[in-house]
Amino acid sequence: MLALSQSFIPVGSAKRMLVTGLLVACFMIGLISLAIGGVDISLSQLVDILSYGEANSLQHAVIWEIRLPRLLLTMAVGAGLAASGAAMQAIFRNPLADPGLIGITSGAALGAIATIVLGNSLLSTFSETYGIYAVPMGAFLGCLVICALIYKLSSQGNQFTIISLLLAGIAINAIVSAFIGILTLISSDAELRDLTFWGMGSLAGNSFKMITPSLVIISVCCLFFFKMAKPLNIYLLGEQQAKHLGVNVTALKKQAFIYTALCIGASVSLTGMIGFVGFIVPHIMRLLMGPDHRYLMPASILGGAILLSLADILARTLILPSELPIGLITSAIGGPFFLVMLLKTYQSRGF
Amino acid sequence: MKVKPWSSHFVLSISLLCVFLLNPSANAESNYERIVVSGGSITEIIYALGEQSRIVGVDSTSVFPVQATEKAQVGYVRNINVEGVLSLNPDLLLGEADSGPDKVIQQLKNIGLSTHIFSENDHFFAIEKKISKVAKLLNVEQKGRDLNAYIQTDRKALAHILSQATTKPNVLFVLSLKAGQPLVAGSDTSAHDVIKAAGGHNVASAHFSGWKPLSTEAAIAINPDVIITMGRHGKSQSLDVAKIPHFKYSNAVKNNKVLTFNGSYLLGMSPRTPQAVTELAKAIHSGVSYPNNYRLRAAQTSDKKAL
Amino acid sequence: MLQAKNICVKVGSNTLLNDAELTVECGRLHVVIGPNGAGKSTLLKALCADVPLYSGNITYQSKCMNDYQPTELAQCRAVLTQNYDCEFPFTVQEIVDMSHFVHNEHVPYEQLLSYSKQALDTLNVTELANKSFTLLSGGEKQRVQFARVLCQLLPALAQKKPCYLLIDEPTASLDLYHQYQVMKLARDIANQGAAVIAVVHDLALAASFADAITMLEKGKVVAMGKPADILNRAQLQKTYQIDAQLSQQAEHLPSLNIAHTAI
Repeated sequence: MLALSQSFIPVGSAKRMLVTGLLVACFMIGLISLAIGGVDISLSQLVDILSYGEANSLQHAVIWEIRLPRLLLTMAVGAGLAASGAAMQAIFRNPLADPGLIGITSGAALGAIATIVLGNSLLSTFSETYGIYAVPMGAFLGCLVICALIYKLSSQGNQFTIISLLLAGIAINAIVSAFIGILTLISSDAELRDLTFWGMGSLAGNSFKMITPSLVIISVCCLFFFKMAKPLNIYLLGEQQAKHLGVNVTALKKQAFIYTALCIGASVSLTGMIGFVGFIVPHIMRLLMGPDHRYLMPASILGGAILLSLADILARTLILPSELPIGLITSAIGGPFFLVMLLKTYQSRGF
Repeated sequence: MKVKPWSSHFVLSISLLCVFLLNPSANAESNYERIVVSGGSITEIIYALGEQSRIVGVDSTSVFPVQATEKAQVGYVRNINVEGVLSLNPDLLLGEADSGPDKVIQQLKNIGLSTHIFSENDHFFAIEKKISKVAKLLNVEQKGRDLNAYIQTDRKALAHILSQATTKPNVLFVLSLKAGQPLVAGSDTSAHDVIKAAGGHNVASAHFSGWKPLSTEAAIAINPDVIITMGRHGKSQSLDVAKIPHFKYSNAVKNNKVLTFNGSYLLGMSPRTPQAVTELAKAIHSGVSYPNNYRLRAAQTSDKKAL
Repeated sequence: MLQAKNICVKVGSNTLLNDAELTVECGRLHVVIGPNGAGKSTLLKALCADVPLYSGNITYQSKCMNDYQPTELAQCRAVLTQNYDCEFPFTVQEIVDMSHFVHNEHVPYEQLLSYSKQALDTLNVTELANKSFTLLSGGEKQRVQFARVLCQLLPALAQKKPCYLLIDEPTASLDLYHQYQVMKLARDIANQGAAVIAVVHDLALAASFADAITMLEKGKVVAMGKPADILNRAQLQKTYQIDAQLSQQAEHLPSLNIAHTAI
């Protein structure tokens, strides 16, 4: 287990500066992201369009209907994944934890793949009623159903221990994988292609109407995560110690689980599987500024938004006019960066 | 001096002609010059109509003719890239039925791009309709009629062969041999339609629909008379097929009736497909021959020069 | 006053505590001793709900423990456990400040900060305030945790409200000097009005500071009373199987004399 002896930035004021810096970076990357893309739009045009451009130009449509919703979704999903990752790492008291460990993401995958494969047969009414919203709704519902199952299994005897959470998650993961396997087997060629692409992740094609529910859910969850900062800190001391200090530990674990489920569900339902962000961002932020969640949570939220936006810029522009799947980019960015941070920390400890 | 009436008419006509010539948009208000195509068969049709200069972007399934692959790429037909398409400044998006994802097509429509996605009924007997539709959209209807007339030769040749055929051989279409079990075509596939059109019986269609892996025992029980595999056209794959236990003992291998066809040639539902099916019919039936003066004119692969 | 009656704790078919009993008034230091496996830590854990009771009743201020809200109890009861599995690099200051959590609503922030400082000073760890907890020695870690626990009780002590301090083997990693310092601190806290229950291994330490002692053996209470009464030769022979005797010299704390023949 990665036990770091000291954070890079121990001083409180420096931490605050870093969080502010992240906020500024977030805005800058947002602007850059709006200005970059297949269609040429200069910064001055961008400013015009954002303030009062003519409604009929192609550039206006590209900014307002394509890039702006995509940017907002990207930042929200990045923030949500990172905040959930931070919460899970705190609850498991392990910096290597990830929401995928306990089966949350697999539930969303099952819902989406079921909708894709059974959309013409068993789930045809569902598919027809919701049209292009069918797959996202399926993913969200799948996530919630599986999470409710895990919750129920881990709550036997009102214990909700970490071990029971892990075991329930591993069991559910296995069962869901089996179902996904069956669905893959019976899928047609077209459905197989579709579910493969869904699995690789994509931020494309979502209008404001589609992203608004997810934006709201993720924002609310991030707010709750931030409010949980102090109890999470105390929880890191140890479960008994936290209890003696007055923290309602069972309620804390349940809350973390529920908000993580909602956040991941709202994100993954629209974008498919985007890995690494929930694991890498809070881990790196913890290496930089220590385990205090009053700084770690906002830093993770901003860091996640920045990382995913950067990844999306690359995904959209590297092989124009084609597009790379976003999941590949997050792995390619996140992996090496994490290795460098790791080496630096071990060096400072004299290893 | 009285002006001669014919000269004023003449001047008027000339001026009108000048105005007309200098203002071409007055005539061709729907002439699409920057077309993005999503779907290999449509790209082929546009090339066959000679209008390929109007294509600015294609998807990854547009592999024939080989020049098409040099056009700007916008992604896989089921997953095209919205800003990639827009960066090419198109005025029309043409797509096969499975173009997608739906929300991207919707986004493009919302922005105001003209789109035409061909309907689901894109089958073997509707190729001429597809060609006419494309020709109409591109304002080259006469060329469309010419192309349809051109492929009538292939249709007639197929009918000629079918009239000579005495049996209905059992045919199995194998998509790939690489991934474990061979993937074969059941009912509701383009391969099924093609086999039927060539006068054969798709033995797998009784068991399942879509493309499915075939187990060894099922393959042995099926015992096809003819096996079609996908690969380099003409190159015999019977050595690979003969090796695996599924087909080692089949009639097809024993009688050396393992055929290899290029995928987009046989299944693409493009202008070349009627010829491909004719070629297939000749191969699966014994004792049949082409009509007099009939020859295979279209390229079976992307290596040769296009039609 | 803390009162525990008929406490039974079972794990599977093992009975860890059988009909144990304890009463501690505010202002008193009560020590629990016994050989290994006697159930000392189990008793302490039962008193702070870290293990479930098979049967029995525990009351704080005549109110049943289960009737308290978690925050209510945390405002007047602090627990120092034997082990800490915190591997995250919090600073010492941050750890001590965690005790502010239940007091945030009632005590002003500056006051809480001064309590932290007081606690750090009392345990002699002030110069470690900005150091990372994971880099400390075993003894320093234990003193920092004691500082946190003390800080949790300071508001109640300052307001002269009844409060409780439960300590499980606080001297395990400490050197000789700090062992006595810590037990003296426990004594001082008791003198300030808290009811202190400490599990201690060292009999001499127990004798030096306790107002009363409960001796456990194999899950049962075998003796309860003043140190001088309990720690007699017969009882020590019976429970510890050692021929030993408590002795006290002038101007010295009690010590344990062990006979040659005992070893």
